[in-house]
Amino acid sequence: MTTSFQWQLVLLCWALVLAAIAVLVVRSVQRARRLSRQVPEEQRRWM
Amino acid sequence: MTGTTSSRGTRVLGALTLAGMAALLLFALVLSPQDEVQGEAVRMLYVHVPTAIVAFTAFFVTVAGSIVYLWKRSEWWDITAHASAEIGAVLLGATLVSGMLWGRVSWGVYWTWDARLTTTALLFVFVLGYLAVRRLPMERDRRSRLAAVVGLLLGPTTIVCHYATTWWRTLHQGPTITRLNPEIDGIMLFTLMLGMVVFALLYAWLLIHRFRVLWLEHRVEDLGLDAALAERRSEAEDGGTLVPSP
Repeated sequence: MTTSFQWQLVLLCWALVLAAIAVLVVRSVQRARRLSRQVPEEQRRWM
Repeated sequence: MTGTTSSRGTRVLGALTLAGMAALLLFALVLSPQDEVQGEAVRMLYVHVPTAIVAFTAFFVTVAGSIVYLWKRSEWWDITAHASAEIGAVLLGATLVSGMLWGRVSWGVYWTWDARLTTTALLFVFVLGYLAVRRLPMERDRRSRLAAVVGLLLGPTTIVCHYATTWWRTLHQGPTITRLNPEIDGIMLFTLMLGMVVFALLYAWLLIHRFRVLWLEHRVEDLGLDAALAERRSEAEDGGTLVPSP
């Protein structure tokens, strides 16, 4: 197994994991923005 | 701040998580040396093990939330269980992907029906099933009760998955954290521990945000129900009928 191939797999592994987390974060932010517009202020106690 | 689910606490937690992740990337990909046996592939250890352990923790939170929900019908715990399972699913997916890539280097194949891999795949299917139940179009209390019962299954499955390398002969190596290899290099050990801390912070940060998003979803659902009821009452008061005549 060449070092270059190992590096490719390492970088792919990290890229996929970070991308999955980024997708979760972005989708959460988008959904929060959309839902916040529909919910009255007093029901968003933590903000 | 309106329009988001952030607060001062979550912004601090988010900043810590981002800084920690940057440090983890530096240690994992630059500062940590290659392993004598694993070579450069050891750099996948710093994402594979932390995501697995934090995913298992997330599932135990889901189990705890499910138990409390079934006992006290607490909306707070119901949402916590749901949010934790969502994050656990993403982290377990990351564990499976990183494990497959690491397996290609260590074993020469991406996948084998080894006890640890099989039980992890089963756990992943269970959590996807749990999240599917959460999307069933039914009355919320019934859906939450059903989800809580399914959520309980995550507990024993996680335990079997964790002990798979102890109970059966597997290709997968045994526990890394509970029986630390004394030959592990100082920086490698530090990087692994840093990974644990960073992914734990990430979990806490995401849990708070996902909780708030789900809380908002519940409120929107309630508002929609209230509006529908008010509309029906208004129709009835105006002399309309609830069921159209044939």
